[in-house]
Amino acid sequence: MKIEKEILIKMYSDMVRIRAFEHKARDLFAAQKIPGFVHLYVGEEAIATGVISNLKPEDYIHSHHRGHGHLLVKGGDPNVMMAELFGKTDGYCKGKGGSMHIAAVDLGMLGANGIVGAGLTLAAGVGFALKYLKTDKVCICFFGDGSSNRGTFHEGLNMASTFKLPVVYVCENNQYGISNRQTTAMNITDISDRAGAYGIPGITVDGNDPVAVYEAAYEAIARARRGEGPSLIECKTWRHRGHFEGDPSTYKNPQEQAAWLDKDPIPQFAKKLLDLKYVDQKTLDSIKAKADQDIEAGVAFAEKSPYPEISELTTDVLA
Amino acid sequence: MNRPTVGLIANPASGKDIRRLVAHGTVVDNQGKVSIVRRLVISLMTCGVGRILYMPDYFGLMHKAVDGLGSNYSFKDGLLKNAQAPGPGIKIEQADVELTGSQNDSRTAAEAIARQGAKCILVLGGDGTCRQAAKGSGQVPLLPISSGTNNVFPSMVEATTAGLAAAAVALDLAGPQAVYQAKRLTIEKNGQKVDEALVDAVVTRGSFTGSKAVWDVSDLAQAVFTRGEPGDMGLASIIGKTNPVSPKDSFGAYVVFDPRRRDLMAPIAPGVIKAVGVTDSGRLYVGEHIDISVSPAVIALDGEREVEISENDKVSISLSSQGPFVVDLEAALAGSVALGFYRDAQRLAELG
Repeated sequence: MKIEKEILIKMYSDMVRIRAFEHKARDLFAAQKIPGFVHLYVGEEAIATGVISNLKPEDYIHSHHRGHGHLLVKGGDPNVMMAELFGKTDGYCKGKGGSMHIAAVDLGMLGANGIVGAGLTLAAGVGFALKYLKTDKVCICFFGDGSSNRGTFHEGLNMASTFKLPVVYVCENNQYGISNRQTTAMNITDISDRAGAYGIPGITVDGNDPVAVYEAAYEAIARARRGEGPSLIECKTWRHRGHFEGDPSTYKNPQEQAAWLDKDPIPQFAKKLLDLKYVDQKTLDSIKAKADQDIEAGVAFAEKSPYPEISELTTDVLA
Repeated sequence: MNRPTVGLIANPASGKDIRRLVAHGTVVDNQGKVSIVRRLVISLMTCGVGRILYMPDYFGLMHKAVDGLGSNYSFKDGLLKNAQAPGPGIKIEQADVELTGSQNDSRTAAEAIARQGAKCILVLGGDGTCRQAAKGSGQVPLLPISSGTNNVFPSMVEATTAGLAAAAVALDLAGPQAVYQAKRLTIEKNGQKVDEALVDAVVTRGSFTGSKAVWDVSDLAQAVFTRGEPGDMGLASIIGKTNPVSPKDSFGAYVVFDPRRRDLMAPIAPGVIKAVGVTDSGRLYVGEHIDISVSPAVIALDGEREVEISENDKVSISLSSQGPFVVDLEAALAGSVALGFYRDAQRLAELG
């Protein structure tokens, strides 16, 4: 499979942009400028990038509580995203969703979700609608290793496989559900093994390699568009930070953490692009500078944006 | 009685690559591999093998295999016993190896198992697993068993039978025809050996190792094979369907591809039969090499994209007769039958 140079450079830029956004969110949370909880995607950027780079603007994604990266690659504006994290009126959800519930329906981002595993059934519902309406659109469902133990995993994949719905289930297996190591919570190590129970393809790829993820997602998305049903792609990865900001990650083995930091997807991909002479160091530097500049602009935008009025408290909310 | 050691390398990561999406490969879950390991253990134990040295793995295949043997079995202080069989049981020990979680584990495990005195090493996995194990097995014969559907080097064989064959080799009951030395391909880049392959080294146009597998025939540029028989699957079928080469022949083969042509129908992946364009092919004898004339490119070794070739790299692939020692399963079983192993009084007594 040949991936055009321009796509590869855009993928790299997206990864750098996610990293810049997340590092800024880290600093802002520490400075108490962001309310609520913040769950960072640092180290997992290759997955959102490799998958969403295959999508059309009209396709959909469902995210989870670690969803900033998904929205950024789907076209999220860092200004509006940062305003949402700040809880300001110019945010995607008028400041009422925050980091864990950010959604941008116009961009096809149907929401981060604070309920672990909730997206698995919601994505099946979206897939049902897309098929019912006879579109060739697809829905990606990002979820974690921990949520694959929830009942919604079975319900979602059972329905999606039975009705051959155009959903691609992407498991971002960072090996921890909060502080709970995967090996202590399930009797298998490869979540792709579970695909067989639903009669669908299940594969495992290196989640730190954006090209490996891209290739797998390309095939699974094409399959879904052809009406052949869902697939399960497990991406093995590692979150560099704690479960949430403020989590000291004392449950992680320091040597293992160091080994995974050596497999950081961004410098690995940068080296590859340099080796291929697709970019030079100057271009990489300018990509980084542009990402930092955009995110700084987002912070300035968010800081200027007003908080919602008290009178807004009950509008746009249910229950 | 001679109670030899048999090694076991079972790879929990095999059978999960992109061929489940781009072809119709079987999803091989690890519970299935546990069951295969269990059957191997039973065969080795029943035949009087004294010890299994196994590669530890992140899934715990051996632990789960032993754990599910049933209430007749007990496992204490590294000794597995069957209460219904009067035999001495079998020791089950981890090979002396540090896991890295990478494909190198199969190589270092094979080295350790060979060093610790195994007489035969069972390998459960695909061509990729065998390729790594073969780098470390030295003089100890490998008995490779396929855990999937797209393999050439390992055999699709029932594990119970494979265990009997491994035991026959370890107990010196298999006869002289049971083990042969396979061929090997060596890949050199800019004068340095960078890797090796057991079945094929296929040069594909592209720049990334990505998801490893090769399924798009329009990417094929050149290939070198140690073997390729009419019944083979995967890229080796290209040789198998034109000028077959057996594992025991003293030569291999090379092919030059042209994606614009349609010369040959080949099953290049499970359920995927494609037209392949071949402009040149021929025999490659031991000691000869093929220069690679394409760049940028990636060489797939035994089906997995591994070696990247940049614009100025000088790369060649040579054929060697010094590959791993391999058990011919049918010959090993025939040898042990000829010696009356399955009618041996002590074996029958220990069976219970």
